[in-house]
Amino acid sequence: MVSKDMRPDAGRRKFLFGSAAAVASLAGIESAIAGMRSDKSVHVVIIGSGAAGMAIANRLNRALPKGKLTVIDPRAPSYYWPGLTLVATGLWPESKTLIDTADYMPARAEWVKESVKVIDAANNSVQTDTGRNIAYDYLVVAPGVEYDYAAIEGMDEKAIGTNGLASVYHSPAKATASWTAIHKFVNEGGQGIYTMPSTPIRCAGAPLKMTFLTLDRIKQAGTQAKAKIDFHSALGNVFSLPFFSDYTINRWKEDGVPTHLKSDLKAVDLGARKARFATGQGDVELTYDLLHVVPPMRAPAFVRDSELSWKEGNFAEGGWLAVDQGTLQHMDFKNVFGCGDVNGTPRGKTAATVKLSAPLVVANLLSVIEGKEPELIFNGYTSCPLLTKFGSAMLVEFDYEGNLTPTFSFIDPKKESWFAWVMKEQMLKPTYLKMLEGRV
Amino acid sequence: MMNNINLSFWMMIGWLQANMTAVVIVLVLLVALYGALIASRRGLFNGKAFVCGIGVAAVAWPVFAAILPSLTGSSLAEVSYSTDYVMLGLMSAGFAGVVFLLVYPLLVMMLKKG
Repeated sequence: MVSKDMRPDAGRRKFLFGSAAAVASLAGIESAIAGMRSDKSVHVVIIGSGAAGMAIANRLNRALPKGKLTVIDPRAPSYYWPGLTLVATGLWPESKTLIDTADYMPARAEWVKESVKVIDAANNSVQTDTGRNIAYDYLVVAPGVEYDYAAIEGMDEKAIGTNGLASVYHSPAKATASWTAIHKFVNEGGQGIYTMPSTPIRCAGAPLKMTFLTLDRIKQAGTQAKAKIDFHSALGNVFSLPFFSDYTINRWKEDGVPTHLKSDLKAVDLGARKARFATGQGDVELTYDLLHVVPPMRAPAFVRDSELSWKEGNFAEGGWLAVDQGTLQHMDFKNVFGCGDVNGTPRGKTAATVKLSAPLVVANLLSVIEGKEPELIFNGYTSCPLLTKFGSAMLVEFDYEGNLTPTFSFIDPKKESWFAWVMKEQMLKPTYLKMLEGRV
Repeated sequence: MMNNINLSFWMMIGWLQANMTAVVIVLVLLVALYGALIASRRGLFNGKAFVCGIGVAAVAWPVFAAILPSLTGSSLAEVSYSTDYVMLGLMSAGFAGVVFLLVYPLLVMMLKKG
């Protein structure tokens, strides 16, 4: 999943800290970075205290004993995002997804509970919303994504959970509220509409999981005759890998769920329960009893409006962070790295992406601190436990190229499986928490 | 390979931490039972109790295999291919092993007493 840089100019590069990088492709990244550390007295600022921010902070806490760490994020509780689909479908309580960031913040790190307002990369400085300027030697950008609900005309985030409006992405509280709306729909029936936007989104499998699990709830309630669901994807598929896109569409077809491709949610009338979609044949207005909205997503404003965002290409529109997709180092500012959702790199990001890329960012950052070139190359690994019903899932793992890259070769990603469900429901949260500690 | 070993190790540690209450209960029971066994001065090893304990675990194994899927929010019907069967078998065997560890000291004490 991680390899040494094999690009033409890599030959001149030296390995950092003995043979660490050399064993990366054979034994994996954990072996490669196990002994990596630097005694330099540098100041590393990490923007974001979510999965990527905490995983990197804890690894740097061990690897930079004389360094100074600053984490900037106003959020006191963060949350276990992969669990929200289980909250919004009535399986988990909201409390199971809440994480006290303080429990995972390294004691040595200064935690600035303020929002970043401006990144001045040319001057190695970050300004917060209180006007405070924080200078850095190295910067890790890991703030996640910004949900752009406002891009949907008439959408009101506050209304999630009421009047047939649901959205799993917003927050644990709104996931719980979404379950209220979905539960009512499951029992009373009507027309359900599930959407997927055209922008890159975090955990691109979540809209599919919500649809599958709502269908299962309908079957459990025995209301198939009166509860109908349509799925609208703004893209030409529902999943980036053709096999899984076709598999999902066919599964839904068997359950009477039509899939409408290139149908993009543009506006809603929440009072009248009407949704307007832009399609190849013009705008279409549909009435609904339940609307599950997946908001368009983009990089946070302080990234979008900074020198750090892509200015051209596929990722310019959302202002995504301009990093090299292999090293995750910024294209222009070599003391800046990115990790997680904010990166303008191919494929959707998930917690699993962070699991593999956070240690790689730490390793490459340590290389740069030591005056070397980044050595480790990220293959774009991402993973989606695609829940197809309560009790069954497909554990889909793949890379930038769309190659299937199962962590455990005995798990067949193309089979619906109880064990994949156990991994998702029982094992992934403990693994996630260990990732925050910088252990996996 | 090293990644998988590291991942599996921390995944298991994390899972045990997430189920700390059950882990502590089992550990307390083990300490109490083996403490009682040692205090009884009856000897730690007893072949007959060992065989009986294996028998109890052998009965517990399929019982765990039958109920584990539903305990994970699923059902036996979702156990659908070779990996599922093997992992269910291994996980059930693990729980049956815990049962063995718990009943063995009891059996030693009961059999000696008898």
